[in-house]
Amino acid sequence: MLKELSSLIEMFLKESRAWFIAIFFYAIVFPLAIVFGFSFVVSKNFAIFLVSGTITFQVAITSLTSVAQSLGMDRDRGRLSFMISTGIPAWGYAIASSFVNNLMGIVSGYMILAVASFLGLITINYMEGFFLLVSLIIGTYTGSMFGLAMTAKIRNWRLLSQLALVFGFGFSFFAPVYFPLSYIPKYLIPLVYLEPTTYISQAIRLSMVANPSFILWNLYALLYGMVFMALASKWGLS
Amino acid sequence: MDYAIQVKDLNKSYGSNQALVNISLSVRRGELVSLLGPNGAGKTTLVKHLYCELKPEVGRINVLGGNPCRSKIKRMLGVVPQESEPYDDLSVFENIYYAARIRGIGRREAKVYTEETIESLDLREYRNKYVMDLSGGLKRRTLVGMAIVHRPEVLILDEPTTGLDPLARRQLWDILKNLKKEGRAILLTTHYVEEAEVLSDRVYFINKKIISEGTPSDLRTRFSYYYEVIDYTSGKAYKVKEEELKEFISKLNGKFEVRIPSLEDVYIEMISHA
Repeated sequence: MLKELSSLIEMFLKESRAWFIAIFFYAIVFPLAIVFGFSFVVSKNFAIFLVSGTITFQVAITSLTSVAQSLGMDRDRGRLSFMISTGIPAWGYAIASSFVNNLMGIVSGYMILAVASFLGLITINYMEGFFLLVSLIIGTYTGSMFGLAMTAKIRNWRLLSQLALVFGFGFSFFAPVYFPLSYIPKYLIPLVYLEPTTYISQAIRLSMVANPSFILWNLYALLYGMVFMALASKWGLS
Repeated sequence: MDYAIQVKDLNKSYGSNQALVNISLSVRRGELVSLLGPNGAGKTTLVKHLYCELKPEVGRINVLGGNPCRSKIKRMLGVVPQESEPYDDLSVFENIYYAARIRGIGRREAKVYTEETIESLDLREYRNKYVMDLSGGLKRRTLVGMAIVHRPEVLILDEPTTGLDPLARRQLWDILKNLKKEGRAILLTTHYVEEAEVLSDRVYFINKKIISEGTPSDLRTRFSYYYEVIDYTSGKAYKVKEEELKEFISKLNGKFEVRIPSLEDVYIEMISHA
């Protein structure tokens, strides 16, 4: 299966030539501009939230939104059926089809770190950089599986495409991504825990400061991703 | 009997809507079988079960002697799903080449297979063109290439000629005839009666359930309850029962033509009464 999936990734890498400008802008230029622009107005204490929040936002868009939109379009055009007929599992197709975006998302995460470090917003060493990689990979998996479950449940491609954008942005700005979890009013806490970005952002931020509890948040995120993978399978995409 | 596809008592429902009712059918190796039915008859739903995009609620499916959900079986299948399109931003060669690679075929072998497939489908001229620049007929031929590049034993084509102009449709028919000659089992869904009549060894009339099955000529004779008599003097066409035919003709003055109903007449008669 690894051989087949790597061939699929190679195919999508070739296909991404046509989308390079958009991928480069949204994965690299746009998040860097956010960090650069807001670095002048954010206080030193909250700089870490600006950086980890932007990385989480990036993960949400490049995994959740991208998987749901590209998979929905491919189902609409019969390509997902073709792939299923070849023996490629839907989850493998989801990960492969968003691989370029996800790769750019991970590269973007490190570029954000470099810019933030250059601007003096944070300091980071190799160990924290490695922890961040673990959190980025798990976050990308979780976002992708959420996108896969959305695709399985919502058959109308136009509705799916819109909701993928709404969730991608909504989960980044209506969740404790750019600010601490403790700022959320108690009555909203249950809702916040339904958002995958809550787990992803905590894991990313805590890995950047080498706080061991990033492992726990990553486990929550992983579990969350697995639940959505199971739901996608139950709803017909396995 | 050496069956490539066997379906037994397949049922499928979407909520309260019963999409398939007790469907049983078979396709032998080297045989081209058509599923003929109107839109919404359940043809695509049935086909999706054959390559495991849908799993049966009730009933059994056997493809090449095994469960079609197993990847070993899927690798022996070639499928052209309904209204599918190749990848616009890849060339014809790349689309067919990667269709081979994702089925586990190595780089060198995949290149050889791809070149041979391009040749057999008469796509040489378009080899390096991006799919987005191709006509509908050429896109469909590329899709067939993606389905056959790995030399499958069973080919499943879901309305492959829908939306094509008459010339492109004929070209695709020729390709299917050649594939049949190579000994592949082919299951074709269509709502074009002429297509089923020209290409098929056997036809299933389907409208959520199997209405009838047989060779095209068998169906025509079996369900021809009347003759069609065209009186060229008056320009009128009459439906006349066999026992009344002689008497009817003797009353005609001038030229006339007697023929048994076409498969299309039989199909419309059966579908409308089903």
